Amino acid sequence: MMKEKLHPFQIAVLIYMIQSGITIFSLPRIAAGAFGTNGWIGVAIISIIPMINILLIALVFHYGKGRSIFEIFEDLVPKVLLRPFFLCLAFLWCMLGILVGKNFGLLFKMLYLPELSPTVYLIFTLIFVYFLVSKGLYQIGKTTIIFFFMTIWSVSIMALYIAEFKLDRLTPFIFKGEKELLTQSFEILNAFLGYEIIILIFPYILKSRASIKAMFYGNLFTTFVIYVPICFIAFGVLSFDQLKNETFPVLTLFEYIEFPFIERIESLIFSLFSLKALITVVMFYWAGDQVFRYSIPQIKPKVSIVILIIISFGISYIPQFLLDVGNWLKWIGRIEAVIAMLLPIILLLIIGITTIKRKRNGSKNGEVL
Amino acid sequence: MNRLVFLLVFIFFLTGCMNNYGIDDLAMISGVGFDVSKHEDHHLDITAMYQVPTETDVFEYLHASSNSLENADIEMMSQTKRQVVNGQLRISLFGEELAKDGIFPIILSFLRDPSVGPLVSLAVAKGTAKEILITKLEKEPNTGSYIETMLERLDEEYVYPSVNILQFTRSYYDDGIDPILPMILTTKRNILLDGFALFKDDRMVASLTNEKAIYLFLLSEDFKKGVIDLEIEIGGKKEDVHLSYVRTKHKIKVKKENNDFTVNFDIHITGNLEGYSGKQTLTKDSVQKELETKINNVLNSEMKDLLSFLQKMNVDPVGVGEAVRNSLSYNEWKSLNWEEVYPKINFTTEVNMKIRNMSKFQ
Repeated sequence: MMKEKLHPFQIAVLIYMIQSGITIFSLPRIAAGAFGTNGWIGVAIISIIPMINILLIALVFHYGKGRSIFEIFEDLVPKVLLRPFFLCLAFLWCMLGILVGKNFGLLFKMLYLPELSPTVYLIFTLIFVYFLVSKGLYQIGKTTIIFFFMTIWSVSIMALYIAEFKLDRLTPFIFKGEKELLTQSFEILNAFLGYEIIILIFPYILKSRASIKAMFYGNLFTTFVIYVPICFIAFGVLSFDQLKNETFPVLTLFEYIEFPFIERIESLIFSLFSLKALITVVMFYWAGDQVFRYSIPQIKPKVSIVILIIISFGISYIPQFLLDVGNWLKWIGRIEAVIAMLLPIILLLIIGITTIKRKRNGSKNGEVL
Repeated sequence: MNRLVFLLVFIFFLTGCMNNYGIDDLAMISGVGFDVSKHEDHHLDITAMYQVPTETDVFEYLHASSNSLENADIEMMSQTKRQVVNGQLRISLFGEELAKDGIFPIILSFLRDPSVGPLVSLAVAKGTAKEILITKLEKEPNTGSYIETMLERLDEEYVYPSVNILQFTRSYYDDGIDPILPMILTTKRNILLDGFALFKDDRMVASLTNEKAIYLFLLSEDFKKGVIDLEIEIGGKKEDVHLSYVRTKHKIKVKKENNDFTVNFDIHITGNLEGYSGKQTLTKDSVQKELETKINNVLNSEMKDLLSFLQKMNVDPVGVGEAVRNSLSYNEWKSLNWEEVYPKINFTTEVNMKIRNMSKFQ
């Protein structure tokens, strides 16, 4: 059966949508904590890491000739070893997915709906996850585009801060003041995380330059259209120490907008952002589902996602409060950051080794012939 | 299968019916005032007003004494059958005495409460905040919303800024500027803007009258609308000048010579001369030039007076600190004892006033 492939535009949007989640609401504060004054420049610097990472993934795509990572792994590693490894990955990704969802639910509860049970929100999310994941990546891609256009306009609201923006407030000092570069910049990196899942979408995209370019454009969009401008504005509208004390500076900025016809627009924007969080959750589950089905091939497609949802939903009950969930996310996020870096490197090594082997075999055969 | 899931989804939607709030059951606080408490074991007297939702123009007041805003909740709740909510808060007033003690703990409570936005206006009440909130105006019974609208209108149409939570917090945390708040006065029949309170950190240390405050805003902001009333001396006689549609541009330059700072304000003003009580014919070029020089002289000396007053009180609402900070390196700024340096700064002002056009009748 001919599978429908993702359009390069869809790839770029997908990367942006997985990357930008709720971390954006606290990003300027994290940047101020990590880099000190003018920390918004630091966000651009950190974005080099996902850029290199995507470059590695693109190299895997190129040298692996568009084959899926399973096929590449199988060239060198026996399936018996691969299956438990991918099983672990499946759980890691599903946990990431559900924790992102739960985190959003708890924030919703804290900020706007104090009587909301996060479980109800989570169940809604998971029903959505079930429907989308069982329909496959192409449908997810289409949904992503719709959600993208539903949320992207909110960025333009940032232009309304010109009146409150003051260049003097940025100060001429670059990266001065107290800072915790190492721990906090990991959190900035977390804000970019999610793009690594595209390593699984090789079979669903056309093997072309445009597809590879789209991966970079997605990350560039997140960095230079969303993250850096928002941080820049936050640094110019809020004073430095105020910024460091605001838990969600970007939400405060949104709260600052007042239209004659609508008040407290930030609650609307926050709800819209749930769509973005939803795509992140769906994509992590989709990735988890892919590797889960590889490690247990006997399982039926629609059953696998149900199993994953039930297990992860159970585990998600262990961290109860926002702080716990934040801590879990921090640690799983760190593991994920390492995996994101290592996975393409390992794959490139495997591709290298197998090509050398093949060449040797080829030359040996040549001698025989 | 799909139908079943559909049904399940809709059952979940029913959870939305679990808690419902009729608007009639809410006491939506529109204005709140804080004063120093007369009780021994409490620090704050809190007065809150809300509109009775079932009636027009009927307002009720809640009073509580406590040590913080959060602790006053229960006392307030027990005074009304409605649920007290802060989501519609428009203005928060601080009694003068309390403002002198420090108001940041209250602002912090606002910042932490997710239902209170950063747009709530703040003001200092001359006398007590309670007095102002309970003033019943014939023209506008909703005192809270009236004060907020008045302040916002002044902000938009004149040079007097309204200050909200975000702006106050911003100046409070900034090391180069000190916050200000508008001051409000009640005269039983009316509520008026009566100058500006100058803060050091979160404590009010001085105040400026409406007339003097204009010079403060000329030094610290660029504005496109506003009026300036001046008194100038021409030929030994005092004449009144009224400038309207004033546009200003200001530049602050900092010079450092062996630890001595010279800060120069370069201010360009254009405005329409709408009122002039003198006898001279305004169309004459020489008269216009003379007027401009006189106005410049008056503005220069007024601003110098203001700056030395601010230095004497050691408050910096102009943001001189910002300009000095941005002219130094980070280490130089951090090693500077700003509190000691500021009163010694040598200020110079260069006002360049141009009359855009004269009144339409000679």
